Amino acid sequence: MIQMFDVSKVYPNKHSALTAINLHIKKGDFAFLTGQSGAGKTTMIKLIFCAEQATRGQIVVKGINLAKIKKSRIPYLRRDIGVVFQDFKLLNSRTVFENVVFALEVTGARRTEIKRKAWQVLKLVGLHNRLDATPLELSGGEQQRIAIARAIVNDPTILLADEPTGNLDAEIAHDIMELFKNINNRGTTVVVATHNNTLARHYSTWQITLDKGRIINPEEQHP
Amino acid sequence: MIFSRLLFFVREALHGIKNNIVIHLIALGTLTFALLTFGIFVITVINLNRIFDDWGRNMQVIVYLEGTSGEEEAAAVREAIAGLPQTGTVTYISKDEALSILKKNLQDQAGILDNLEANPLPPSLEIQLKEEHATQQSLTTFIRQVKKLDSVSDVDFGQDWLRKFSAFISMIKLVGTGVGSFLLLATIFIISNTIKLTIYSRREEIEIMKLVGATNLSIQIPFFLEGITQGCMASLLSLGMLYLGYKLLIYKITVDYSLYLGTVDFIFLPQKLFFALILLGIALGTFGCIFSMGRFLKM
Repeated sequence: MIQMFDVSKVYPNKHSALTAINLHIKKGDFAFLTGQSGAGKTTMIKLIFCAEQATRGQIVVKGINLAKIKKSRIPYLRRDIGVVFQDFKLLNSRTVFENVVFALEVTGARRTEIKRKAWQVLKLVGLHNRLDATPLELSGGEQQRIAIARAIVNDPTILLADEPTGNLDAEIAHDIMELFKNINNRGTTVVVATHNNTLARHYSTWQITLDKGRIINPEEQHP
Repeated sequence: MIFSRLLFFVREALHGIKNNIVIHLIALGTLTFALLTFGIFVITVINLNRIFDDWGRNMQVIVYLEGTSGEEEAAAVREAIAGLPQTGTVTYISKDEALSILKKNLQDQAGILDNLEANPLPPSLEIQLKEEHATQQSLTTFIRQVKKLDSVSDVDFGQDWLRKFSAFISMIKLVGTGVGSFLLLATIFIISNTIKLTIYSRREEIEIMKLVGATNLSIQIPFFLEGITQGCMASLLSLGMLYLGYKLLIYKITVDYSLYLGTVDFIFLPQKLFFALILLGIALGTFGCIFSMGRFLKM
């Protein structure tokens, strides 16, 4: 599903974020990227959904070589990759329902399909009774649930989460992880980047640990 | 499918306007000001040209014949002038008639002419040009043709005054073009920055759209629609203000200066320019918006 071959990333300010990464995440995996702040977790997530380009090496996502992908094809790839961030990235002027349907509307989905799918995912994340609320009226945990609902409403085959529990307390963090586990059980490949080792150990079947841009547990390649 | 896409774009555009109303009002004000300035410049130039043409229309050309010219020569010149396409009416004033007119004009001081041994005044032809030929260009051609005729000694059509007025109009046009160009550049700069501000305030929205897989085109279309709406509104607002200002000014001018302006028929913007101003507003609103978006679409 996601393969990296000798991937390195150096930012224009000469900061080397990733060095010689080799990785293979298979369909249906639930992988955790762990490591301290600045270890390269976010860069790795960004490389997968084409927000950044690798300086060296090859990345293959769903059989597509990202080094050769046309810019015009990137939006279509992103429709099959859901992304969740620590700061939620919600449209605060819109309701819960509008935030979720937005992801379907930009893809040109049919109105009836949009309503049905949005309702289904909002029920899955437990927000089906808060449709008309705006994000700022909800708690951090609920806001993250909207972000998750938006990320999975297109039925993506990959779900990426960058520090999804960074702003949440422990109990809510566990709820969110349960949600990811649930989504993974439905067949979606889930990759969660977190600096919270305890949480990662508790939920992961596979943990990839990064330090200063390198994988430090390469022997633990796949469960 | 297409209908639901279209509906989505319209809804997004309306949402964008509603949620960024202050920035939209600033952009609308700037655009309205730009179009208003342009409109004022165009109306001023058009109406100054009309005043000039009107004065030209009422202008009389006097052709002085050589003092020795008799009835026969005068008739020949008159016939030649009457044959010119610009000529409306031609009136012959003989030497004697000219003298009696002068005496009449001098009134109490007419006595000074009594000591003249001979009549020094030349016979002349007073010519009124046809209305459609009462333009500066037509007048110049006419004068050139008349001067070539035999027995014509001089032609009087208020040359000095006409030259000064013509220079004044040229100066107005030059200054207007200079000021207009400067204003246009300044306005494009302001509009471009206002739009950048609008887009910058919505960079998160664009980022999220890209994140969920929106193509550049589907991100641009709502902004494009917002630009069109803004341009349309700015055009209509500036045209409304322009019309109101025009009406008030024309009322004031016709009341206070009717004596000098005579029968000048002032006009608002001609139909073509009216629609050109609307199109200019839409173009400024739309393209400014699209060009300013480039940077944010690279995210």
